[in-house]
Parts: sequence; C-alpha cells; structure tokens
Amino acid sequence: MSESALTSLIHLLSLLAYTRKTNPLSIEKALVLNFLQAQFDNATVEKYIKIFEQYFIGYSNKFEKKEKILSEIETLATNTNKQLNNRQRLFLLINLFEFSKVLRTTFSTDNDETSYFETIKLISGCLNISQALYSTLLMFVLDKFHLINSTDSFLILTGDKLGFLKNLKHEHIEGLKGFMYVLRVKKDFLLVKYLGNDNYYIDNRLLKSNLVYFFGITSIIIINKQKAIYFNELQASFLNIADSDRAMLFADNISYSYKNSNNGIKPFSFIGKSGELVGIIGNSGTGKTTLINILTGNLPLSDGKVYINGQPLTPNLRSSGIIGYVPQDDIVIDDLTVYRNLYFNTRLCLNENNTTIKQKINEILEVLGIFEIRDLKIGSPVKKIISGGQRKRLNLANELIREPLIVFIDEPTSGLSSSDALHLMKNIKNLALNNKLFFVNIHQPSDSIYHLFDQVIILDKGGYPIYTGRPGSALEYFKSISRVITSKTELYQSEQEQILSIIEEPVISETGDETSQRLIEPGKWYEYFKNNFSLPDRPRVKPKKDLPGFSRLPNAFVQFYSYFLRDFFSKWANAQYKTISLLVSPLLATVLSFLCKQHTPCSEGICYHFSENSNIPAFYFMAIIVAIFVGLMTSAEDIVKDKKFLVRERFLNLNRISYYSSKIILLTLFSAIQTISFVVISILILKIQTSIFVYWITLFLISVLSNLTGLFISALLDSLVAIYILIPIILIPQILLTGVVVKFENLHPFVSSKEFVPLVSDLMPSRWAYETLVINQFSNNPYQKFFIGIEKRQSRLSFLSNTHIPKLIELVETMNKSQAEGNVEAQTHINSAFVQNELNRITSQVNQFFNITVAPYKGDINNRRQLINYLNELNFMCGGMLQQLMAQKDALISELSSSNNLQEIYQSCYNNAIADLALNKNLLVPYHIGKNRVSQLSDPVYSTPYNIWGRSILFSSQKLLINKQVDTIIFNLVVIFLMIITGVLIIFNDIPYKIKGHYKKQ
Amino acid sequence: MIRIFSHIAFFTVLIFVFPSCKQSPSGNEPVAHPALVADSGMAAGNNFIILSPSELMFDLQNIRLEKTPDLPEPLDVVPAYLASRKTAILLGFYVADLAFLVSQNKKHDAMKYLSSIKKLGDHLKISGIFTEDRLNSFQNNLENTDSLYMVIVETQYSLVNLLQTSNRNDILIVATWGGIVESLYILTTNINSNEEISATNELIENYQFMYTEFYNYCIQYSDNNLVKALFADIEQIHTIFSYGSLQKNNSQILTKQSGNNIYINQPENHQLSLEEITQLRAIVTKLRVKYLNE
Repeated sequence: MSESALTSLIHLLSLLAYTRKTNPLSIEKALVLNFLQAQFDNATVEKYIKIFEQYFIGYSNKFEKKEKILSEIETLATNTNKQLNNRQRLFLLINLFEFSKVLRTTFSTDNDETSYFETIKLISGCLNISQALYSTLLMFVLDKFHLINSTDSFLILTGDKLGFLKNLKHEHIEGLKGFMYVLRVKKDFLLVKYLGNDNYYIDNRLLKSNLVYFFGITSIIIINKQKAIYFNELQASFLNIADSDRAMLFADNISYSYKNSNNGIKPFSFIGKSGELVGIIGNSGTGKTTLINILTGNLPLSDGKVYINGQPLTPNLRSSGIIGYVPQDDIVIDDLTVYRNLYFNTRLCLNENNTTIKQKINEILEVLGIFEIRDLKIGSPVKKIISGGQRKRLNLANELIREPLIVFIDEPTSGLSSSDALHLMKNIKNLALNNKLFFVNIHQPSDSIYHLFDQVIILDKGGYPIYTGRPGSALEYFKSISRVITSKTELYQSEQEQILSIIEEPVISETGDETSQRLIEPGKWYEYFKNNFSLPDRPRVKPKKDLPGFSRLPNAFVQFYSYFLRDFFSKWANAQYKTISLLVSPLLATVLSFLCKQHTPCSEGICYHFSENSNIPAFYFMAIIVAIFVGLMTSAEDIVKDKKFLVRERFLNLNRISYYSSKIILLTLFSAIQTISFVVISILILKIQTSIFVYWITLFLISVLSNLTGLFISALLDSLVAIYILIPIILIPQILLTGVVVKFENLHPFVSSKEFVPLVSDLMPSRWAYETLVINQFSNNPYQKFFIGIEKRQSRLSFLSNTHIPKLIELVETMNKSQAEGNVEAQTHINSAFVQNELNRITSQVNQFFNITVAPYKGDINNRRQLINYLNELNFMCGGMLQQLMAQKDALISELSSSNNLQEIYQSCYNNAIADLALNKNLLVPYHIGKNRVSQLSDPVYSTPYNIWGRSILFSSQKLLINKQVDTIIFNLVVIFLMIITGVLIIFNDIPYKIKGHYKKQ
Repeated sequence: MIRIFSHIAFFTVLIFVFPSCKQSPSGNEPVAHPALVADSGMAAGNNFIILSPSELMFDLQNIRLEKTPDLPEPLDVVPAYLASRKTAILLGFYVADLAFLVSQNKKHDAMKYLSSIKKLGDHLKISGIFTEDRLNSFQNNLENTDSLYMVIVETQYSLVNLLQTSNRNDILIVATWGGIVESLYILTTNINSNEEISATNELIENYQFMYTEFYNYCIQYSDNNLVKALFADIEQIHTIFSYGSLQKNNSQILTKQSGNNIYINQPENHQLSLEEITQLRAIVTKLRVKYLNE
C-alpha cells in the first residue's frame, strides 16, 4: 500500500473515530492500534498511530457539530480519490469496514452501526465505488455471505467435503481446517477471509481469522508444507467461460524427430484453453523451443495433429492471425521510440483507423506498464535507453496489440532481473485472464513465476514430456515417483528447482560421488508419464470464425505504406545511418571532383579547362563505382536486419510484395537524393557540360540496381559478415569488365571479342552505364552538337577511304596470289563470297553519300585488275566527298568562330580525353577481319552497328535492335532498366529465400 | 654545315613535292562525274622518286648546330575545332621538324613529333598511313638512322599515295606547303653570310628547281579553295626563286624513262644573293608565324 493511501486511511479513521466523540482517546486509539497491528509491521504501526493521535486531537478543537465532520470527511475522501488507484480505493474501503466492524463490536448499538456505515457509504461514493460493490464488500466484511448477490464471484474453500455447500461454488483443499471465503473483485484481484483456528500464512504473514486480505496474482497461502494455495487455482474456479467462447489448442499425440538424431519431441497430448497461462519448463536442450515450433507450425509434425478450436493447424489457419509468436530475441527497432515501434507494427497487422490504433496502443502500453516510456527511444542492447524488462514488454506488446487468441512466448524472462521477470510474467498472466491462451517457454522460473502458470508441461532431455498439469501438483508427483526426500533441496531450492533436481537425481557411486548416470532416465520418466496421465480426448468444439484473433489485415497498399513509414523513420532516427547515407555521396563527389580537377599551364599560370582535363573518363568511371558501392552498402543490411521481424510476421500472412516494395521505394528515394547530390557537386566543381539528366539518370538507375542487388544478397545470406564478404565479389567484376581497367581485347581469349563487347561484360551494369556517360559527354555537349552530324559522315567516309577499300584491295591481291600459287588453304574464309559481300557493303555505304547511285560491281570477282580499278574509283569518290565534308566543317568552324567564341565553347564543353575514348584514338589496327566481314574498330562512336541484338563495339553511339537503329544512350538506359525490372521480379518472387530453402533442404 | 641544314629542308620538301608532281588523272573535276573504271596513272599507283631522301639525309648525320631553329612544341592534343587547312600546314611543319630532329640524332624528341604527326593525320582523316606495322617500324628503328630514313620515306610514299588515290590533292598541296615553309625556315636560319651561301649553293639550286615544280603543281589546283587561299603566299617565294628557275633547262631535268626513278640533271649554277636569302628568311618567318597563330 502506498504511503498516501495509508495516510488517507488514518485521516479518515481519525474522523470516523471522532464522530463518536468519546473521551478519553485511549479507547479509539486502542482500536486503531489493534487494527493497524493486524495489517502492518511495528514500525508502520508506531508511525501511523502517532499520526492518528495528531489528527484526533486536532479535531477536538475544530468540530462542534456532526455535520461539519461529515463535510470534512467528504472533502477529504474527494481529495483522496484523486491520489488513489482502484485497488487502493478498495483497500481503503475494506479497512474502513474492518475498523467500523471493530467499533461496532466495541460500542455496539444499532444507531451507531447505521451511523458508521452511513459515513463509509458517503466515503465510498466519493471514491467512485459502485453501490453494488459497496454492498458486496460490506456483506463480505460483516460475514453476511448469504447476502452477497453475485454468487459467481464467491467461493468457499474447505478441507471437508460438506454436502450443504453443493449449491455454492466451493473447492476442496486438502488439509484446510475451517473455512476460507474468497471474493473475486476483479480478474486479477481477490479478497480472502479465513474463519478458523489454524495458523496459515498469506504472503509470509500470519493469516488472521476473520480479517479480509487482498490476494493478487503472485499471492500464496501456505496451508502446510505440502499444500499451498495459489492465485491461479482460485481464479480457475471463477472462470466459467463457455468452451465455445474459448480458444482451445489440442495437441493430439504430437511428436517430432530431427533427422539423424534421437532428439525431438516424443508423442504426447494436452489441451490448453484460453484464460490459461501454460508454462513449458525444462532444462536446456530438452526441446522447449522445438515444442513451440511444432505447436506454431514452424516445424512440421512427425506425427499427430494440432487442433485450434477444432480445426487442424494448417498454413492458412496459422497465417490467419490467430497465433501470435514472440521469439526470444526482442523484435524491436532500436532507433524508434516505444510508441512508434508499436504504432507501425499495429498499422501493419490491424485494419483499423488511426484513432483506434492510437487508442489500442495506449491501452496496451498501460496494461504492460510502459506508458510512461512511450516517447523514449529503445536503444541498442549495448547502449540501452529503456531497461531489458521494458524492452521485453514492448516486444510482447508488439505481438499482443493485434490480440491473437493463442500466444507463444519463447524465453520471455531470459536476461531479466528477478523483479523484472516477475513483473513481466504478471503482465502476461493478466493478459491470459482476458480469455487468451499463452504458452511460455521458460528455463528456470522462480516460485512466484512458477505458480502463475495454470498448467505446466515439463520436458526432459531428448524431448520427453514427463508432466502436464497444474504446477502445484508437480512436485508432489515427482516426489511420489522418485521416493527421494532431500530436505536440503526443500530448504534452499525453489519448487521448480526441486522438481528438476528430482528429475535429474544422479546415481551415487560406492564412493559417495555423484555419477553422470541418472537415477531415473528420461525414457523412464516418460513411461511414468504415460502410465500416470491419461490422454485427453479431443474436445468437441464447434469452430467459430469470428473469435478474436482472426484479424483482418489491412490491404496491400496500407501495408506498403506502413512498412515504408517504419523503414523511413527507423532509418531517419538512426543519426549515423542518416548522416552517412546522405553525406557519403556529396562527400565522395567533392573529394573525387576536387582530386580529378586537372589544371594545365596557361598564360595566367595554371588554369582549368574542361577540355584539357584528362581525368574525366576516370571520374565518370569512379562515379559509377561510387553509385554501385553506395547503392550496395545502403541496402545490403536491410533485409538481414529485418529477419527476426519476418519470422514473426510470417504468422500474420503480411504481403511480401508490400514489404519489398517499401524497401525498394525508400532505397530508390535515397538513391535519387544521393545521385542528385553527387551530380550537382561534380558539375559545380568540374564544370561538366553535358546532358545533366542523362548523367543523373544513369547514376540513379545504376544505384537503384545496386540497391536491388544489395536487397538480394541481404535476403539470401544470414549474416552481415557474409554479406560484406560478398560485396567485393560483386563489385570487382563491375570494375574489371567495364573496359576501362582492362581492355576487352586483352581479356582471356575465352571471353574476349574484337567485334563486340564481350558477353560477360554485357552482363555488367557498370559497362552499360560507363558507355552511356562517355557517349553522353561526347555527344551531348554544346560544342559537339554543331559537328556531330558532319563528323559522323566524315568518319564513315574516312574508314572507307583509309581502311576498308584499301584493305579489300589488299585482300583481293592476297586471294588472287593464293589462287595463282594454288595455295587454296591460305585464308580460307577470304574467298569470292567474302569479297563479294564486302563489295556490296562498300557500294551500299558509298551510295549513302551520293545523290547518284553507284552501280554495283558486275564484273568477274576474280578479275583482279577490273575489281581493283572499281575499288579505286570508289575510293576516289569517297576521298573527294570526304574532302568536301572537311571543307564544310571548315566553313562551319569559320562561321561559328565569327558568331561565337568557338574556342571558349570548346574549352568548356568538349573533353579531349573523352573524345580519345569515344574515337578510340590510341587504336593501331582500325579494323577487324571477321568471318563474314571487315568491321570498323576506329571511331567507335560513329561506327555502324550490325548485330541485330544490340551488340556492338564499346562506345558505339548506335545500337541495332532487329532492324532498327536505336540511340545508345536510350538503349543502354533501357538495358539497365530491364535489369532493374528483372531484379524486382526476382525479389518479389522471393527467389533468394527459395534458393536458400533449396540449399537448406539439401 | 649550312649545306647540311639545307639538306634537311630539301629532304622535307622532297617528301611532299616530288611524289606530288603528277597530273591529276581525272582533270580538274575529279568528283563531279567520276568514271568508275579509268585507265589512269593514279589508279596504277605509280610514284615518282626523284632522289632518294635517305641519300640526302645521309650527309646530315653528326651535325653540330650553330643556330638552333625555334621549332614548334609537340602537340599533346589537336583541338577538335582546328580547320583542315591549318591542320595540314601543321602536318607539313611537323614532318619537316621530324626530319630535322632525326638528322640531329634527337630521336627521343623525334618520337614526340611523330606522335604529333599521327594526331594531325588522324584529324585530317589520313590515319590509314599510320598502320601498326609502320609505327612499330619507327619504334624499332630508333637506333638506326639509315633505317629510320627508310621508314620515313615509306611513310611519305604511303601518305602521298593515299591522298592522291583518294582525290585529296588539295590537302597534299597544303601539307607540302607547310613542309616547304618550315624547311626553308630551318635552312635560312643558318645562312647569314656569302660563305654560307656558297656552301649551300648546290642545294639551294635544287630547292629552286623543286619549288618551281611544286608551283606548277599548285597551278593545276588553283581553283581549289584551299590552294587558292595559299596562292599569294606561294607566289611570294616563287618570285624570289623564279630567277634561278628560269636558268634551268626544264626539258632535261625530269624524265620517267627509267621506270620509277627520276634523275635530276644538275641545273646551271645560280647563287641566290645574301639579300635574297635574307628576304626569303623574312618571308618564311613571317608566314610561319602567321600560320602558327591563325
């Protein structure tokens, strides 16, 4: 009882005593003293009797009229009401009754009695206690049990079997002498009164006869050494809920065996009903978690069946929300507040409006006693903000908020102090009393906790069930079988410890040492169990679909939104993550741009000209690597960190696509911000002039693709270490196969290709992104836009004139020479067909440049002189046209120079190093003679693609798709986008989990 | 010594001029109505070698310079906006400088100039002459001046052949003109006295002769815009050389009777005066500055 409640009580007692206006004070004082001594220790009695005296004497000079005293009592009771909770109010009221009873006994007149109880009724009204409760309590205190109206709330305990009690709720307690009366005031709160002469103890205090005592969840009445009365035993007598309204779990001869092991769960049956708290007890390795897993459907049963409300436990039933599972690890988001943790979880599993959700959250926070810390962050287990017990309660609240009918809790008290553990278990017990069935897996419960259970399942090593039933009977059962009486254990061990000691009692060797062999092996205990406990019959329960627990989930979009908000706030609340995620890109952009800003000598000393910055290709390459790396790092932990959430949410049948979508969208937003900041900073520092949109979208898409890759590996792997080992394995091929670090032609012959980018590189997103950025920089800058058309034509003519036609002439010469010498085998694929094909291609290309149509060669392909003359004429034409184009370009340069400062535009927009790449200026052999054609390797950006599946040499500005030429920038972005779509489909289809599942099965 | 310098210039000119001294096979309208099958000398791919450049360059070995000509810096980058006329002139300059550096045994520097020539060639779309084999030959023959000369000569033939067969004689003329200006600059930088004139008399006479041939070749393309733009400059030097040119017996100078080799009959001795050399130097220096800065 709180100090304020007791002070209020003394105050009221003094007023109540004063109403008698008796002198001297000693009579009232003696009564109060006697009353206090019955309830409290000596120090408390001494302190409060003095307070009583002070109040009493104070009133002697204050009140003349009785009306004034009543007014004072009313005021005091009203003020006191604000300071007391319901339980304290009842305490106050009952004590006033008791005191009045004493007064009545001492100064017994009918008028006095009426006067006393009228005064208490007045107080009761001020304390907001209902008239019905007032009457019931009064009758209970005055022993007028027959006048108690609510007989359902009244229970008689007796040691004798008395026939006259048959119409009353009663229980037989072995060894109890006299009667014990129990009044159920609330579901977690009973009143007990003993009428008899024996000495019994309630919560370590003598249970005095004819006094009312409070009996809470953890209270215990010791009858004798063999018998104690626990709250749940009394409470069970009051539970008269119809079976049809109760959740019922029936485990029918269930068993489970691990492969290649004798461990598992041996066959047994039991029934659990809502309103019960079932404890699964046993030492480590006895199969407690396995039992929970098979009851929840996490593990498939080897034999038997589990029924919930008469329905077999199927995946559908499991995911209907009827089952709740609270794993041992706390499933909380460390960076969110207690409230937000609950809020997002509730939004995910309950299809309710925001107001209802908030109300439910506040209720559960109140019930679990964590309302005061609702706005505190959770903190990590290392850097705690809330206590371990509060963390556990929040973990529990997360599951209970959706009100499942059956809740399984794995080791809820592990790592908690004894007081925290008890507090938590009392919370759980209270929740079970709300017509819920709780299974709690617990290792070593204290006595207080042990006796909270309505039923315990005790498991022995190897998964042998050796006891199911009331906890209070377990010790007696095991003792009766083992016939071991060890007074030592009784003195120093808790009841549960005694049970485990008996179970594991070792054989004593001849030398008196304990051996590793047990007196009774687990198998033997199991035999006893089977012999002593009859199998329960399958209960006949008509399943009710509308039982609480069959929750309706919010739709996929609401789930997506809730996931999204949860993810966003948890990331946002993590200062380190937020800072690093948002600053890493701008920081890297600054560092890279600054370091890559090459200056060159000029008249002022050194100047920066974008055109002369030879680091731009390297910068673009690094930009891609940064996008990939940051994208991977941002997402690689995302799913693996959520694994414990996913395990729990599996019971809810939440929409996986909503979950993945929220991750993808949030990461996409992060990627957008990161790449925008990177692009802006790099443009400002390096003065890049190109299509900013293409620059950004390329990095953005590549970053999103990396996010998806990160999510994939995060879903695939179980540990962060494995993920971080895998990241370089993903990243390094992206670096190597872009064509920057190692030229494609220098790769291993097995993968290298001169005609096209190697297939293995085509699989690398970085290769498409790099090509896009280089072509974008080369083509989409203010300088090049003037010349790109003319240069393209120049390039094609130049290749014809410089390379293609002379090379064909050379091949014709070689072919003829070989034929003349009869060396048929030489250059086998360079034959008439090859020459004819090339001839046609050249003629076709030449025709693109002239208004007139050049007649195709119709002479004999083997007529060397005629053929070469024809080719020379074509070459002559091409050269002339090339010269005309050069003159056109000169004229354009001249015109632009006169109207603009062409040199300045060039210096600020055109990059020579990029041009070197796009035009492959370091190339020594500008052609490749393939099986069917002579292909152009020089000026790749202007080359004409011919592979209909979009393959080309690196930096070709056009790709051929079927028969349509597509701009490379568009083509590449589409390729990356398709990779993203593929990634999304892979993740949406849970492929990583399927892969993992496949390997786990193997 | 001066004589040797003059050989450098002469060599450079030879590279371009003599192979160029050939009539266009299709007349003055090579592109408008091309004949697809023409029995032309161009198509046959003949080149005319008047004097082996390696023979001329042989005398230039182990020379000590009295005045080092101020050569343009090697090019790291050829700006994309560089017009083809300037590119071709610079190509001529750098070829002359390459020959000069090779003769001076400054082969490391020569490679930088070779790199510049390749870049200019790419810009002019004549990359076909810089094949992998040829570039390797340059690299492999760095230690052997004679062989290096041969590689340079081969490159020269290839270049001329490429430009002629692809109907790009105007570029050939502009590049040749650049070579002449740079080589005359190198030559005249070291002729400052009558004694030095005497020592280079024979070479100057040969130069006069070659310039006359180049001039006549240019006249054939005088309608071409690129050539037309240079013609006033070409005329200036022609005026100085024309006196000596008139002294030659043209009919006896050139012959292609003996296959591909053309023999030069020594012209009558004519010595440019110191005043004329000075005037020539002033003109080429001015032209050179103009071309480099335009």
